[in-house]
Amino acid sequence: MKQLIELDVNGEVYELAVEPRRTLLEVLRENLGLTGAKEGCDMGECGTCTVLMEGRPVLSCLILAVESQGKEILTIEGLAKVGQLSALQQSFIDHGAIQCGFCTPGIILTAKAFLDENPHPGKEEVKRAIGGNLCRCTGYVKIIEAILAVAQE
Amino acid sequence: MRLPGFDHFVPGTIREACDLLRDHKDKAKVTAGGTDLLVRMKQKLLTPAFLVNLKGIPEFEYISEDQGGGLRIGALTRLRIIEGSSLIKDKFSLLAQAAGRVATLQIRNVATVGGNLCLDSRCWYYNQSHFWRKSRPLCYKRGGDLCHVVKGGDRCYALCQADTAPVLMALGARVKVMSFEGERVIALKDFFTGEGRGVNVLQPHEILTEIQVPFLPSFSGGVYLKDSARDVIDFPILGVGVVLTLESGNGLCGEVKIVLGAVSSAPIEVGKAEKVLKGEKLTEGLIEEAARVASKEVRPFTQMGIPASYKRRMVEVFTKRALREAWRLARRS
Repeated sequence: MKQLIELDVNGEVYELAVEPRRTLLEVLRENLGLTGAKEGCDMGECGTCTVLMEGRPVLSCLILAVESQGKEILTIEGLAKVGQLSALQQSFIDHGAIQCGFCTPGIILTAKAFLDENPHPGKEEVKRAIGGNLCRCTGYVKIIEAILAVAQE
Repeated sequence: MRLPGFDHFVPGTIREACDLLRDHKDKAKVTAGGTDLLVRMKQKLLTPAFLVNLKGIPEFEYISEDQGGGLRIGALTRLRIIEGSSLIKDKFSLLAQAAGRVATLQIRNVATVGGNLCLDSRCWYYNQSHFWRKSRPLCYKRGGDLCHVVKGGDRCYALCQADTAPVLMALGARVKVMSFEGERVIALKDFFTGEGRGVNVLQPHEILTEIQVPFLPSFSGGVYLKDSARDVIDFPILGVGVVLTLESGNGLCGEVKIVLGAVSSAPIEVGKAEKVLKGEKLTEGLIEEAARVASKEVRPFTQMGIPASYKRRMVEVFTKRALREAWRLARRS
């Protein structure tokens, strides 16, 4: 049976009627049209569904929508101020860190949360920080460079 | 993969949670972090009609010092918190290490230490989607009468792959379990059954609520080492938890605990290897001997893509490295 819930996503509060079995990923994509979070493996092994919950990267495919109430959720769509990409997003473009783009929303959000806590990391720390986000295209080198470039500033 | 349907309860207290489990018996499952349960529900290994969500009970997230000389850790404490806790890094650095080696950052932000201890055993023939499994006959873990891993096997050989389990066992931890009937405290070594099917003694109406870890004496050192395909994401091919205490005064090896994870359906304490060291003057050679004995003490099977011979060899290598590191830390402390 559907439950009436309130989700705080990208600063807006949405009122939704969803069944308990809907994951946060499904609701973000199908109810809210926020398709930045991706369904890669749907079982917690790839990181493409990563969103920030209370500033922390979590896997939306393994979180129920009904248990996401009262928690600030940030998706990739919430990152860019109107018309302007965030520093990380621009850095990814500038460094050629995006090929197919499937992993990009998840990695950028993970990187943002990481840099928020560690503004000046070393390369090894960056590598460890994005360990939960797989990329099949780039081989990670440009991604790490893009993140480090933002960190230097 | 969509989750099957279920009714969802969010109890506000552990009492409420226990009552819900009493009322719904084996049709209900608790979810804490949910990072293991939800996967198995998507794979249709489990289809509980009721989910009792413990996330609404924050009183079970804590790390506090016990008068009796130890730490009490709430079962709902997230692995990320354990990983970063200065109290745990100070008193039980190997626990912080083990917690930090679980899965990925995203999972550790949500997954709990209690959930890691209660992790069901794993096997490549079991932890698959319904679609994958339906072309094969049912194995023991699924209620059938054969094992796909061990041909002609007499029981389920699925492995215990929880990273925190061998460490907490090496630390002599106990767990508190609650239900509508009351509570009981069990030594962790008695918590695991050694069986692939039914890995621990938790009854369907019981909830693991607390982990109690006694402080280590001076001149103790401990470490967790993990062999896995990748540095992150993967479950252990092998986990080694070592705690070593030197006798004050003469510097001989006092107490030593070597517990291996992912070689069997429960963490295995290699007592024969421990005996090589107890009461002796530690040397590199003696450590190598203990590691050799450990590798002969276990009986690994070829499973999950890992040959038994490799696993046996890694028991020796990682036990040796772990003993060296624990000894170094014990001397320094």
